[in-house]
Amino acid sequence: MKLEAISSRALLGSLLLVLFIAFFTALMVGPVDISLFKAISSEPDTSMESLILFEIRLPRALLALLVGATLGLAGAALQGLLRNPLAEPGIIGVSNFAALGAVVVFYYGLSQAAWFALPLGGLVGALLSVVIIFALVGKSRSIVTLILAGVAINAIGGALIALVLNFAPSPYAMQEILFWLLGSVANRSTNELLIALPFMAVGWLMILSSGRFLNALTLGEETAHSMGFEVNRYRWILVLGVAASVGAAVSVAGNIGFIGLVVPHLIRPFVGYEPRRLLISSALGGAILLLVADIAVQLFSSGGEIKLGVITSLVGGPFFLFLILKSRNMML
Amino acid sequence: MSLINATGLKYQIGNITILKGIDFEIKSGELVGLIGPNGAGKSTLLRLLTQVEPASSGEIRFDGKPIDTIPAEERAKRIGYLVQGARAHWPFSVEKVIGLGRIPYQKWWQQASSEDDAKVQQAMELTQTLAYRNRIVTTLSGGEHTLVMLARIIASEPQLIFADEPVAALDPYHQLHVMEILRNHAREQRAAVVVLHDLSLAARFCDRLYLLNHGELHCCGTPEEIMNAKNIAEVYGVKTRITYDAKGVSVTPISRLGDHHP
Amino acid sequence: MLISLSLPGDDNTKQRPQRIVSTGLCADQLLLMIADRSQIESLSSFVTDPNMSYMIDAVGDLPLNNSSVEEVIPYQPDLVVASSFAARDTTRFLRRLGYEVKLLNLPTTLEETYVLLREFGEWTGNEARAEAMIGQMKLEIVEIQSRYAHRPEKSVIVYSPNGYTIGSNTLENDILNKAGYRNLAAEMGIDGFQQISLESLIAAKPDLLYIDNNVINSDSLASAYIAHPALEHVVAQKHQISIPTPLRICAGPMLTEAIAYMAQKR
Repeated sequence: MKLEAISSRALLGSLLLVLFIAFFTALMVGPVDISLFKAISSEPDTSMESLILFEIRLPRALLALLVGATLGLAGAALQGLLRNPLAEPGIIGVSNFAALGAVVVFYYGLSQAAWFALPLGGLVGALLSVVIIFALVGKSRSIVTLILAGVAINAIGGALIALVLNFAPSPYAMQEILFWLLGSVANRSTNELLIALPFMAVGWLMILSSGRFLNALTLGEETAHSMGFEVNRYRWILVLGVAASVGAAVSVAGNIGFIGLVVPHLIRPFVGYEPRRLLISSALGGAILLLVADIAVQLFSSGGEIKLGVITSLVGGPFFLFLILKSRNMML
Repeated sequence: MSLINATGLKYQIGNITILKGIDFEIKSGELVGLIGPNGAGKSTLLRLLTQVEPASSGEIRFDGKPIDTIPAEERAKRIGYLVQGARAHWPFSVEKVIGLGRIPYQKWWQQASSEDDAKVQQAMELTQTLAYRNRIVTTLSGGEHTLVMLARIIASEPQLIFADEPVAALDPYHQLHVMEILRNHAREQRAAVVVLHDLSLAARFCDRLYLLNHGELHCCGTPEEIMNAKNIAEVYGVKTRITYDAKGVSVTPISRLGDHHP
Repeated sequence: MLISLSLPGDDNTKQRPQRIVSTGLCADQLLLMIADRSQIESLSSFVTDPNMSYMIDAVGDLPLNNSSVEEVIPYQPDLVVASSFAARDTTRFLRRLGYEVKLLNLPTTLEETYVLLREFGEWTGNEARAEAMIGQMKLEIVEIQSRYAHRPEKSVIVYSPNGYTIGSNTLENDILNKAGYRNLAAEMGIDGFQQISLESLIAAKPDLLYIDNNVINSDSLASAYIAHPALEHVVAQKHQISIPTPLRICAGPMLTEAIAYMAQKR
């Protein structure tokens, strides 16, 4: 146990270190060369350097960090809850439905109603999809059933998004489908950060507080019950936590896939496969991965900016295939 | 002293009544055996007693209080449930699985304390699983796995242990080992209930037996009282040879009784 | 004055086309302005769209088509005029059936616009009228420039929904230059219509920022782009312009109105 505590601290420490490095690198990357020192030391209203740093790069990097953390955390949570290493918000369709909820609010003028209207739309969409997934999958522990349900939900969600955008008043709506399906943190300001943050924070809290339950769930629902957990209640807390945080993240950054799949999988061996310890480290890992992906987007785009989801899919897609091949015997 | 006192337990799903009104009691210091044919309702009874399912009707008292008034956290510390066939999903180390038993003693933000570590160590010593503390639980044999699960329960220091068919697929060595652990647990203020198919083990280790059939209590009492050819023939539909010797009771099924279907 | 030459053995002596069909807005408008009304068989339905058409009042009761091959054929036109970026299949199909199809290119400078007008005059046998139109445009532009000559030249960047800006080699860029602006986006090397990053925009420090607000009130990400808080700080003067669409999407004399509109805002 003592060794575990040390390695736990070492893991978190190194993840935090890498995160800081990634974050500061992200602040230094952009179409215009600016001196960070000048940006920090000058008056915000007069200097273009500080304007670029504080109004453009900082919100963008923070959003990448928070969204990445959310996706990593949600992936770990879903995998613990469903006891399925392939579960993640993108694959099982939660992200698409969150985007659907956000799109309905955004394109039909509802986001002016209240500051929380947009992330709430994401939450409702996400929640709906999780409920449907549970209804479809039920007690089945089969990985195949879950993936199939996810395929169905994703297809329906994507189609509905296209439909909603088609009928939206704005002539730009249909072209913007790429943002919602592939995600991006470009051109996002502090406004987006602030409206998404409360829901994300609440969601994180709900997920993190269910860590022990996820550990207990390793031995089955009845055993978890005997350890003092009311299974249904904790399931709802986790589901709501995922819906709130992913819903908010997707509502401002679109559907960015595979973070929740890749990160927990890579980190799991380092935490002894313990679902609870996986939570925080996946959040950190997800933040790092998305920051790196966004840095890549800015370095490799010329002219039109590549969507974030393209990078994460280029990495995550093959990774997913590799996972499937590796666990072929577990499939059935 | 009565640890569990249950009266009139009924369990229904839709039109099917699985348990038809059972009275059940466990006193401290007892190892109680639950025996009966497949489908008699033994596992269901255990699920009602551990509060996994609520009974359709009837009352369960734990330590004199209605069991549903006891908060889940306290119940988790006082009752341990070895679920039939429960296996760890993720490839934890054995020590980590046993460490899960300490969860009821930790708040959601807390890590394992040195006291937790000490209890885990004790549990491993008691179940003689120290040798494979670092092995991955999913690579264990059936017997080793059951011992680890038992160790997990012991680490949580329960008063009462419910074990659902813990020895079903085990080799003779591990069968005896598990039964000995349960027997040792059931002392002083503690008790255990075990569901068994092996009548010899039941007769040999248990202080009292409950014989269930078709959701009803056929009879209950000490092994000497109820373990006889007549009862077994009525409930299981088999002819048996029962021998008593210095070591204990040996129950051997001989042949099936033609016109009797349990 | 153009003199048409006919060489021996050459059947270049084209008849002046009498049954002209146009399938695109810009062709529609040029027909109405340059050709005789008797030459026109049919115009595209776009010419009656009040959001786009400059010549909407001149249409009258001329027949309209929806730019499809089926609708063009009944007129048996001796000339079909279309936009070069219109459906290629339609153009190919019509040519295969033996019809004469002329394509209007998109001019990228005012000079190219004059060339286009001249060509159109040739195709439709109205060279004189086309030439007069060109002369008129040039006069008007000179007049506009002198009218506003006393105002200083300003640097500008135009920012449209989705972050698109006007770069070099576009008609809009030429209009800006003629109206007395330095287009910083073109000077930064942006060619055509491209996205400009917010950072580059801020770093360029234009005197004026023109936000194209033609569809600014739509609920969309495109509109959100141009509402980014950073823009509040960029320049002292951030204006919303909306050059009426009919003035700017086709080649023709209405371009001078667009130039006047921009020069007046300087």
